[in-house]
Amino acid sequence: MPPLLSFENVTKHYREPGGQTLRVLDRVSFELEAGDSAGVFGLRRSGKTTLLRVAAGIERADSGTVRLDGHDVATMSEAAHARLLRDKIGLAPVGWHATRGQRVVDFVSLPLLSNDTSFHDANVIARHALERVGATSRADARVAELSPGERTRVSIARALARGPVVLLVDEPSVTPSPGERDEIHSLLRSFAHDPGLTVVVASEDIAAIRTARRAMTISDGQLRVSGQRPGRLIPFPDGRSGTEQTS
Amino acid sequence: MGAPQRQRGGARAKRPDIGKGSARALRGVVLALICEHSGHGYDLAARCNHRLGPAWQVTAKDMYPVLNQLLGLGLVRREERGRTVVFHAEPAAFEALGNWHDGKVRKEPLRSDIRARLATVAEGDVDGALHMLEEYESLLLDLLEAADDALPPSVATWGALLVRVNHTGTDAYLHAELAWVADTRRRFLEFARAAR
Repeated sequence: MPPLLSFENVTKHYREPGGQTLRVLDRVSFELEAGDSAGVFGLRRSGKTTLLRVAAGIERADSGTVRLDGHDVATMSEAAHARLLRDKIGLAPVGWHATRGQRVVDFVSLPLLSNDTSFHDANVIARHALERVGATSRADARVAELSPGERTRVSIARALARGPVVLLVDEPSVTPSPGERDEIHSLLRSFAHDPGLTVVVASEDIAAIRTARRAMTISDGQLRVSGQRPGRLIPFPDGRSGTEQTS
Repeated sequence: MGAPQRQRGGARAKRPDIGKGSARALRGVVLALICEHSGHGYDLAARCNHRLGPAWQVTAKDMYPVLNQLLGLGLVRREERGRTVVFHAEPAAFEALGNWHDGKVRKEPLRSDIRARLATVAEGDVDGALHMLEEYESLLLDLLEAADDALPPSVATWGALLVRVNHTGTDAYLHAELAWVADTRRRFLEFARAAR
């Protein structure tokens, strides 16, 4: 059975204001089976958010292959690609914007409305997703009233609302409250044990990484996976990471 | 209860103590766990790992030298129950534990194999240094993956709070080490680029 999500030598560059290109993902390879869970540890600007955005199909890789459920996403039509991502992947980003006065349940149900779901049904599904993340009591609150931890829960609820098989969570540990952080980690741990969900958590917080069964690190766009001990000879650095001149 | 430990040093009785040496911290924890309730080697190893976190990697095999030291210090006694040996706290154990907790926290030297190796890499052997870092990062990843399911979901009890703060301490250590690996790797790569 093929892995549910796989990266093979995926590379991604960004153009910086100074004209340089920054290699954000550098030949990244990994595989995740259905029901697997992985924590990706990385410091700021290490490439972890880009990794999730490429996995979610929000950004395309410059080179390499991303496969989701056996499909090479680069060779799919735009419509098939969008449908696959919509149905299969939920991304809980680190920062999101909503109208401050918007109700939480409306924010969570919004992606469902673009999916020909009725307003009533979307509302019911959104409330169920909020229940799943322990945020039922905040369903009718305004987005502006949420604590940082509640925002993380709501973000996860929105990612879960469409019933994805892959959940990508970007930096869930933004709250300064240790108790709130513990609760979010417990929630992520419960997802990691859900056989119907494949979870990737990217964070700078080790405790968040520990909620997953597998651990990876990313630095300078290079991903390292446990159990892959290098041989004595590794390629000598020839500009494989960091900034490069584009001239 | 066993006979009181005969103290060295003549008439002046020595305060009960958990002893010195590199295993002092583990000895203190094992004694504290026995004071909470008696147990056998495997049980104590499991309780140690639960309390301290998986990074301590305590095995039942590690327990017996520690328990023998505690027996020698007169702080615990053993009881054979069929094929199992259960260890109980002696009255002096509680005082020794109190003395350990009240005493100064010892400063332990920050020595590690990876630091020692990196301090002695042959000049210009960037490849060798990077290899060492990769190896070390793999070990850290293994520690990250060590089962942590025993972590209580909340810290509503004192026991859960103690477990949580120890696990958090381990996490902080792993974070610092992984950040150091990333920074050191970058330094070697920048050095290699500048040297070309």
